[in-house]
Amino acid sequence: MEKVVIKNEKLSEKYIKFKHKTGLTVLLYPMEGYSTSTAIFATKYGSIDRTFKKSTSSSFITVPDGIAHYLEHKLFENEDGVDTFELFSKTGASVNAYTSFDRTAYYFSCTDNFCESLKILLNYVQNPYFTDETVQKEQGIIGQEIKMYEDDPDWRVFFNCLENMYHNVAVNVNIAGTIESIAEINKEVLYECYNTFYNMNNMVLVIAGPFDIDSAIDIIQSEIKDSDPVEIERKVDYEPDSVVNSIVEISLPVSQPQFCIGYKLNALSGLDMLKAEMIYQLICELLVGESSELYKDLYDSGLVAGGNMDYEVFCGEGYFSLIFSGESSDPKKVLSKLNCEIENKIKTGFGNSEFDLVKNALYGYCMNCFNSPNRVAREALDSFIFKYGIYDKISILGELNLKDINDSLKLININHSTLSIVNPLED
Amino acid sequence: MLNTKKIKSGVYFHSFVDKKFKFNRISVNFVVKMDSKEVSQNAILSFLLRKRCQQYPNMLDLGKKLQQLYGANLFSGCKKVGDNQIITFGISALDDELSLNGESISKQVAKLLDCIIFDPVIESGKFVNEDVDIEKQNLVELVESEYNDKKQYAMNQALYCLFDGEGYGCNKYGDVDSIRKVENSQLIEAYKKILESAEVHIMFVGRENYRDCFDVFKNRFDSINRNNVYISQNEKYVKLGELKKKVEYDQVLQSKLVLGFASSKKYNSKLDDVIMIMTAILGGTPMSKLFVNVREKLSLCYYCSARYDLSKGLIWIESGVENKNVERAKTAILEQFEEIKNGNFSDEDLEKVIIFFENGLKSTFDSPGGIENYYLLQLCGNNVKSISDRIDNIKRIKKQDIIEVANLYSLVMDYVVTSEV
Repeated sequence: MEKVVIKNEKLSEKYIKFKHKTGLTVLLYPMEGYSTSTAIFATKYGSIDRTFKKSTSSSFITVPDGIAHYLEHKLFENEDGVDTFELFSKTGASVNAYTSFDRTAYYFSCTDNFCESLKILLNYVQNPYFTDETVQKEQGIIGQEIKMYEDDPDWRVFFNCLENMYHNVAVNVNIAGTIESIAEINKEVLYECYNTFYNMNNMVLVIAGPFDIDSAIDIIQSEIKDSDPVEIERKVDYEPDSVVNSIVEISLPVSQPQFCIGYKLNALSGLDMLKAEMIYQLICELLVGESSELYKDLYDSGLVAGGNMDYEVFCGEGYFSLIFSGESSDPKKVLSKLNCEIENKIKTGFGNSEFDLVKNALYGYCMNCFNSPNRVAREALDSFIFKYGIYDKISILGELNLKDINDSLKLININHSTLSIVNPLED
Repeated sequence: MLNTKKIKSGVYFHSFVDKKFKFNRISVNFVVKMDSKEVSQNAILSFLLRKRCQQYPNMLDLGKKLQQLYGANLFSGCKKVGDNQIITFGISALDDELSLNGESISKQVAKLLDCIIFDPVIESGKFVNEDVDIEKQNLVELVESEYNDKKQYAMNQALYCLFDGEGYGCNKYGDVDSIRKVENSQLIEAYKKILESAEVHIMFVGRENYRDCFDVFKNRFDSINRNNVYISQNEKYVKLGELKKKVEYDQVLQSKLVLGFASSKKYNSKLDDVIMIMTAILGGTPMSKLFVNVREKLSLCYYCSARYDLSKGLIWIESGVENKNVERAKTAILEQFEEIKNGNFSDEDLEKVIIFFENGLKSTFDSPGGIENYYLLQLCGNNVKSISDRIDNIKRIKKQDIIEVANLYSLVMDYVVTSEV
């Protein structure tokens, strides 16, 4: 078990990385002066992993949509009938979990009793216990969760955008699945997914805060169970450059139209993806940030409330897109203005002075990721999922130049975009 | 620890310094009485001023200045804390030590914030007409958009209904009609009024050098005549009259239920922490009565939680529940409250909630925003308690204390948004 210490001079900080004999990746980030330690035990398994096979199997299997999320709910139950929340309640830790497209993460934060909480975390995630009865019971709660999201216009406008951008990559499917798909879930398929993806070779433990490193390592050594080396092959479907539909509209009880505009780009991985993510963050800021001409235009015309469009570089294994969102009386006009601005900038290119300013701003944003144990733990988890180092963002940013920006700008194709709108209900 | 200096009548500079932070957060908070006639004007000001200032009269130049300051985050807005409205302007920015070229960021940030608040662009004695029109429209849209998030919408409606006609029953931005009626000339008067008479809390939370910030705002307030200075206050709500009920019909897949509970008599603010712990046993943690029984055992809803509104002394329970199950959920929730009143919880339940809160309170110190919020809410009403004192008090709470405060409370508001007729 070779420990590597990775330092950053500017931050005067460091972290320890090692691979446990079971295959588990461990990232320990000491942060003196803070009260809270955060630990995340996560698997590289999310809603997009629908079709897969283990190295020991001969064929791919396809599982019901929403199963990664269902599994997350079920892991909180233990064989002795004691709920995981009950166990944590004795340590005072704040505990929860989430499932996204590409990961399932179980975490806690605490100021005291760190070692006890870490033991509980490692144990409950490693000891699944499902029965037909408990699996069945969860359908009511998850069904309510699905309905809650169906009523949520922010969620619907975003998911409709993904659904209509992507043909095959499973970001086009709701993370929690549907009422119909979760009805197909049973304990056998849950165990199958658990035994595939909750293998230590596919998992990471991240800890950030003022915790005691030696005690944490002792607990890892004693609590992590041996696991066979399982290799997972995820089925990658061909994804065309084009979108499914360029426009999608639904109606919900909202005060004025909400929109999401997605521009589809080619997917990347590892450091290439991280570099592209940062380049496109700069491009988005240059296009619609508070110092851009388009922002002023949208503000002055009142077309987008407050002039502010949110933007996100939405990327992961198999998908990469730029998503702009907001509220507007006329989303189609917003799309038209944004397309014009992109085409215009592709012709003229951005200038050095504006590039230097947004690069400065992104440096501040990168530093903000190291401003609390929670943020650092999230950064560390990202670095495992996407296979790069926690400080790589800072070094990549230093190397970016204007040519990177203007070259990448030209890769945005306005014909590969989807406009998703949630309109108010008609009277 | 919070260090407070009085700058002028009703103007206070608070600093909380900790070397671990990489960012400094400065905010200037004007506290005024929550008054339905003035609330919209103040809300418009909170957005209007952040658009430009005399040094950066073009909003794009202001945006560029913020980018140059390593993406400093300029924030502004309104809060409602009990009977008070707080109008906030602030900037969070990287500390000098982390700048790339060794430049001083903090001093520039303090000066920029000072300029934004105190040197607005005024033409012929008025704010720029176009700016006022745009910000009025933006605020109207912001208030109307509260309808989009049905959970928050239901909570707001329950509160407006219970406090109909009172300051606390106002939207923190005012209602759509009153926003539309605001005139530019009224805004200038409102602006002068908050500078001269609001209670002001300037908060610095960050790495170390607050001196520059202190000097900038001290100099500024030295030149402002202060009179009729407001002193923030807060009156806890005590149950009056009968239970209020309201059902609103809308196209929702999941109903939103909000139940409000109030004390039947006045109580000392020393009981705040006891009521907070009682509320947590009822519905504030994943081990609470509501989570375990209404969500997990009955599988009735995805969320069902209780929280204590410290400023008004109310307990609110919110739940998202299938349309046909609203009455079942309501009955189950009220049963769980009765369980607490009857003492049907263990000493161990109490101990767990106390440990949970101790963790939560200690973690307040890990974020500049958390520290600012913790103190600011208590400064409004002059009831500042240190976190260590609160932890000591919480540890002394006994089961009988919980039963006694639970029995002060009864249902006063029953609000539902549903599609089930």
